[in-house]
Amino acid sequence: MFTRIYFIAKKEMIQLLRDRRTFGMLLIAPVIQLIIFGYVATTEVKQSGLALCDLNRTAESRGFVERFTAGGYFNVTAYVDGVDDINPILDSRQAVVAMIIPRDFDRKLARGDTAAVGIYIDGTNSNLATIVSAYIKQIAGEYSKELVFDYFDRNGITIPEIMTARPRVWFNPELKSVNFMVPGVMAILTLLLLMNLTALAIVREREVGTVEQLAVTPIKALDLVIGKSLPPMFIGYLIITLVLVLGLAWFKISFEGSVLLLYFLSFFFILACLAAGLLISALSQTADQAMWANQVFFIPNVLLSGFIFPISNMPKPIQLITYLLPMRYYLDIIRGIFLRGAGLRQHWNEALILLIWGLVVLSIASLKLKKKLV
Amino acid sequence: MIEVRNLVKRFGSRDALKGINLHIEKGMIFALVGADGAGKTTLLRTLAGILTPDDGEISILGRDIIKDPECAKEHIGYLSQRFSLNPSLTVAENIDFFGALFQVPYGEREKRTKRLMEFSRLGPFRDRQAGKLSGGMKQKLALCCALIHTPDILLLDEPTTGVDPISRRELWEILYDLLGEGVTIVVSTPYMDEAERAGEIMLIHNGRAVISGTLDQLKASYRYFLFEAVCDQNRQALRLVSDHLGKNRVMFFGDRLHIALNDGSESAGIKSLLENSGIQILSLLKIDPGLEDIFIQETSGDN
Repeated sequence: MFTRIYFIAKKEMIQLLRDRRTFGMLLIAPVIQLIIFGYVATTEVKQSGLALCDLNRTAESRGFVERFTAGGYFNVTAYVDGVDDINPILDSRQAVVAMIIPRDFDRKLARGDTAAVGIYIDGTNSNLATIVSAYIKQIAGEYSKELVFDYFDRNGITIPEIMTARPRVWFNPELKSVNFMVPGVMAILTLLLLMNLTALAIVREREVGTVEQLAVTPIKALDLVIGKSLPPMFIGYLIITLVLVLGLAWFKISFEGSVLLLYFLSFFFILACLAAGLLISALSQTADQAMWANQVFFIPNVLLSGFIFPISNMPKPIQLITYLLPMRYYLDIIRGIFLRGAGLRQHWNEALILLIWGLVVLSIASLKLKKKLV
Repeated sequence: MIEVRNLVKRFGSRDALKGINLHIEKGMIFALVGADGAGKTTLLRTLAGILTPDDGEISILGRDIIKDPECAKEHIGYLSQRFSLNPSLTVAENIDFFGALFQVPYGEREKRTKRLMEFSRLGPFRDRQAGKLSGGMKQKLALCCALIHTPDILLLDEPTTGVDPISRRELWEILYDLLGEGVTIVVSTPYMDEAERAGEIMLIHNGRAVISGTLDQLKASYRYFLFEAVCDQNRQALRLVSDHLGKNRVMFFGDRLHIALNDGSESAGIKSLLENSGIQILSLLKIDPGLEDIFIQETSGDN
């Protein structure tokens, strides 16, 4: 049995390595994807253009504006004289936000009145607008809170314990999205490459006709499945290593956990990917069918796993679907290891789910294959 | 050696095999002859244990392979019709791969691979990838892969289709060598001349065995008196005879006509029929029927 598995695996590996182009693509794909996601897919918004209309022109109003520009999140790109001038500025994309500070800004603050600052946001890109508006609320909130504390201080009033929510981001303190993206890319690449490799593994034999010659040997379906799984498993670990090294060396992402644990828990995800690919391969009649079936499986795994959109924001029925996706569990695991330095204790249950998922799907694939072999 | 009784295989509503009976003795070449779609491949695949029949019995070396398809696999070598080896593996790697799947021990595998390569004259191409071999060499390699576990029975599905004449002759030489070693060979072919080389022949038509036996037995079963005619206007002659005797009684064989007559004396009638129409007969001889004549006799009823 072991000889057969070894020889199947060896044959697969030789086939893979002799096809230089495919193998080259296997290694280039992670690099390209990592660079794209690392640099482009960021949810931070920096240096947003701000059109300023400061009708107050006092130390107070300048101080307020400085709060916005100091953090690097906003940049004054235009000065306007009034509300009427804002539209052309937003239209010409010189700025995404316009701010109007009223004439009596400092006096109202001094009196303790509400000083209303007008904010106009370009909502064309709703994602961007949401993020920018959140920044503005946060900065303005901090500013007014400080005014209140100052007021109490000056009047010699000891500040009572007031309830404040002070969010402190622990595991990714700078909210650097690259820290968040690299583990995601690792999961996506592993899924993509492993599925593509295994989905073709059996259907290709069928197309070339070699499956018939295999069928007359005393080989067992399980030998074939295991033998065919080993080389992709090796490739999977190669990809994970490549992404990890690139992430650490190039993007300087933070890695809090244990590499050993990462490799150990990745096994369960790799198993699930292989199982899915082999099932598709066993069910497909042609390589084309297998490739499309791959897409059907791959896209929900990317979009619904929390890689881009948080699962908690999804409608309830869709949230239920996400429990079926291996990506969801693996993303939890690797983000935990990368960002929180989580240990086995936090993630054994996800690993177990992946293991069960993999074994169930693999058994179905073996059974289907057995029928097709004989 | 191989015993088949009333074998039936259906694909959907189509009956590929309609009750085939077969008896093959040890150490002979048995040829299955028939047109494309006659059921040759289906029969060979059921014998190889990769297709389960709907009805009937198959016993190979005394084992019931329908009940347990695995039990005879190590004694059977099977060569499918399509080239079905791994194109990116080399000649030697392919042979070694199948040897390992059949669990031939390592040392033995080396020895046999060497022998098979000598025997098939693939030695110089040892390290060439299988996908880059010519058609004839591919077939020889496939044969080597099917022989690495020294099977007692070799099932070959159209091994010479698409193979050049020289390679074809070499392939048959190999088969005779194997026969000398006591291997039982079942070979399917659409070529009548090739089938005539076999010890026993079975003609398959529309999923039925229409006739089987040695070539002499088949010849003895021929009902007609076969005449070979050469005329100056063969095409014209064919039409005249066919109108007179019936469509299946006359056929082109290269530049000759084969005419099947009920009686030797009928030849005089044919002669006058042709000459009266101004066709000159260059020769008219009684000949022995070939396999093709027999095949036409046996299948003409269906058409």
